[in-house]
Amino acid sequence: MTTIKESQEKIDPAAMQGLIINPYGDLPSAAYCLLEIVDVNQARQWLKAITPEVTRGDIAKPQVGVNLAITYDGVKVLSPSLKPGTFTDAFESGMVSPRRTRILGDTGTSEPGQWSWGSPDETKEASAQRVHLLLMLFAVNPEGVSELQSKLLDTMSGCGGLKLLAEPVATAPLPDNQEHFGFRDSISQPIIEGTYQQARSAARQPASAVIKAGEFLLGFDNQYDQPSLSPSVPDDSLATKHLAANKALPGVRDLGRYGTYMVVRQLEQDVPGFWNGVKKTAAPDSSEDEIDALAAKLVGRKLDGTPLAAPGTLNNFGYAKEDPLGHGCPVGAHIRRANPRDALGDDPKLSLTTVQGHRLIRRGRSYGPAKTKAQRYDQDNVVRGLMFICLNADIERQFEFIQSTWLNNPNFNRLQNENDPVIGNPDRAPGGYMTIPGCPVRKRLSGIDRFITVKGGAYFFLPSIAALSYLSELK
Amino acid sequence: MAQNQILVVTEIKPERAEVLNTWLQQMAKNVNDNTSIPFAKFAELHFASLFILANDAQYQPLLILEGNVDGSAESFVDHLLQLARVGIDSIYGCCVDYPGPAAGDEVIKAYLLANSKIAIAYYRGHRMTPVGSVQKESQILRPALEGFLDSRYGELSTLCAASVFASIRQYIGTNPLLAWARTAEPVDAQNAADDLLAQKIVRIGIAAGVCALLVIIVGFLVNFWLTAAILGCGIVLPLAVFILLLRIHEIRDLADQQLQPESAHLRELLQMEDHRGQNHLTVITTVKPGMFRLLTLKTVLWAINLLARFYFTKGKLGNLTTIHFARWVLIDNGRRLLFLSNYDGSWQNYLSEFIDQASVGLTGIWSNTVGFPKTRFLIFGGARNEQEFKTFVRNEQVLTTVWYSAYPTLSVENVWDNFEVRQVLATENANDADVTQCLQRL
Repeated sequence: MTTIKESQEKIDPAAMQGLIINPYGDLPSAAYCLLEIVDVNQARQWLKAITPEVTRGDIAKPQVGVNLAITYDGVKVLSPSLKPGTFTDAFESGMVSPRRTRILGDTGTSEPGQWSWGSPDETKEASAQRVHLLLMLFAVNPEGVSELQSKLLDTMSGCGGLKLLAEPVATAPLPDNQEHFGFRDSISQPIIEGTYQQARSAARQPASAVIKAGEFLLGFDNQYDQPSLSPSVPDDSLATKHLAANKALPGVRDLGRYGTYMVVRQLEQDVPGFWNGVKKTAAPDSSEDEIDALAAKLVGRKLDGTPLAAPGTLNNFGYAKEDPLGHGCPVGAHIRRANPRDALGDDPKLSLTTVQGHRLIRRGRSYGPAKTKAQRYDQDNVVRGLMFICLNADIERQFEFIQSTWLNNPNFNRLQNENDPVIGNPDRAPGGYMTIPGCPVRKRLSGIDRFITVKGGAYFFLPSIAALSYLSELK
Repeated sequence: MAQNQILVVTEIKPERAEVLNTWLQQMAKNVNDNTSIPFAKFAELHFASLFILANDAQYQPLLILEGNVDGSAESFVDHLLQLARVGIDSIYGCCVDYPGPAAGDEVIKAYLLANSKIAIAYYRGHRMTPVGSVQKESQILRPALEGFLDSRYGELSTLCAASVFASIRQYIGTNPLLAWARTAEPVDAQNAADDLLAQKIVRIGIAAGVCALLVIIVGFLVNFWLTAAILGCGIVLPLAVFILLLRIHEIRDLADQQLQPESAHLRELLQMEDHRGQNHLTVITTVKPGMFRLLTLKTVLWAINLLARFYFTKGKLGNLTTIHFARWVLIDNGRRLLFLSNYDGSWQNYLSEFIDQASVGLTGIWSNTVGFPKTRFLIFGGARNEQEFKTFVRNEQVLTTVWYSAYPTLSVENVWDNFEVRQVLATENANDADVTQCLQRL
């Protein structure tokens, strides 16, 4: 027998879109263009023309970045004969079904009916039904992004088949890798096993951050040593020549291989709301340092990213040994909910195994002008936030799980009636409480408000280069 | 008062199934206080469910009533008839052989009990707490203590743990609303008897093991070959035959190769889920044909029941901390297996826990039923095939139309924490470790 196990198979970065493996740190400016396909034949022409321009994973230092994701509605337009059930239920039913709204906590001001894009309200210009494609453009500066945008959307052949649904969301980095509240962000990232990431980031991330490729790439072995679910299409047209044959099933080709699912949520951040809220919660006459320290308790890291559980490192730590009771980093702090590491329940090893099945590659970027620390309490009515983007092979088991079972769960890890203090939805746990464990007795914050409003969102498929070629050549 | 199970399984008259279904959906709109069975009025009821197992080619439609109650099943039925006789008449009037509205309560009680099924395996996540205590501890005691700690934080945080603890005790002592919390929850006689029996079982087991070992050693010394032959025929041979039979069965089994659940069914299930921190899971599967599978299944469940009743009594079933009440019941003369669980968190979380932490037990059970993913040696493979396993459960899952929880915002761990806080606070001269832990639970 000479069968090679999938996991031992070499991963070819050239087959995937670069965003999966590369955060494009050298390309700080970006724009996210939501597109509707208005003429499918022209759109296919455009897709064919743009596919060679799409940045692949093998280009380590690209001059510009171009990546393209598709919603289920978009796939259906390009592939009218697609059978329902080809993709996973989460992707096909989308982010705005009543149930998903419930489990994601998108209620109140974050209710999808009010979103500026991706809303189920069909009367809206950028409604969920119309969002077909997301073209992501990355360059060294905003001019580079505009240039790229006009090249790809104004002059490329077939671009008449597309309609830009809204002014693209433009992002620019904030100083010191911060997000708008002022905390250093994107510190903890999983490392895809079998890729060049492994050698590169090994020293900075804990060993448990190395995750099987199938958690982020469709058709590869995942944490259960099973190939992640990957959509297949019947081998019935010339276009399928681009796609790999499915070893297990004759007569079908693998549409998903080297692709993944991409979750996008535009999260508006109320910076003065957050800091005034923290100030109000802090003891009267608190100094700025004390206010910073209290805010750090909500997040689980100091402003500069130092983890409260283990100040000696940036990310190579756990909780079970360093901070089991949460006297450093509270159990309900944002980062301890989003990634509980070895501290779910009382068995650290088991906890790590569990947590490894719920990881995300985050590719979010901030939009809107930065506020300095001195300005953080001032209401300026300027729109700013995070274009939250994450990649995963199983939306339900990864993104939705983290959002509902950990972040928005009032009973998370023995807590009672609390929610994520930074991005949680207080509707789920009235009172806005957060316990800060301490000795001899805990301190409890109350009245923590909501500082994040969801403004748009959708589930996308980020196809492989081959799948893009396939979709562009379908008839 | 000990917690007990009740499960009434009755056959529905096929022509009344539709009416009954509409009736249940009506009840589901107001589970706590509907006019048919106002579940919240039953102070002894922890969790309950009422739903239809739809008919298929082989089976008539069945109505299932699940209850997890303080006290005996009989006294719950008495109470049910006392508070909801009219509702019971309408609901069970749709079922075969129901004596009818004219019959006396005793007749109806006999009917319901005669149709009751005892689970082969039953698990209780917090067997020590009656409903009333769970509710009082979470709705009265905890908020009072939290409020006390909040308002006195500045002062208390400068004290030592023992002094903080003393102040809390003093506060409870002076607050008339908390008078009940000055005493600990009494230990239930049934639970105490179980614990005693568990110790006995362990002692007898160890003694029997030692004796057997001695006999074998002496046997080998006296007559090596005879002993070897007896051991071989008595233990090794039957075990080998069992494993051989098992492997033959497993190799012949066809697994469900589907990787995604049927979507209309899935959508219906998803609509019911995740409205709060707890969920209900009902799964009905068909036992694989033949005595071999049925006996294997019964043996595995018997062993699990033994462990659940005598060993896993502290809120953890193996590593699972999310189950309030769960049971496995054989119905239709052992041809179908019903699984009912009242659990914390999302379905995704529960199933992930099954796979990560309990795949051996679940595979040992469900691999004896049709459609389960390919299994090796009873406990390997099976549930570890994540997608196939999740599809199996989704496809065999049944909609729990009416589902009641007496404390929907609490996890099993919350119930335990609140209970322990009260127990320690009610103790004179609690030791330092208990005091520290008690304060950590707040």
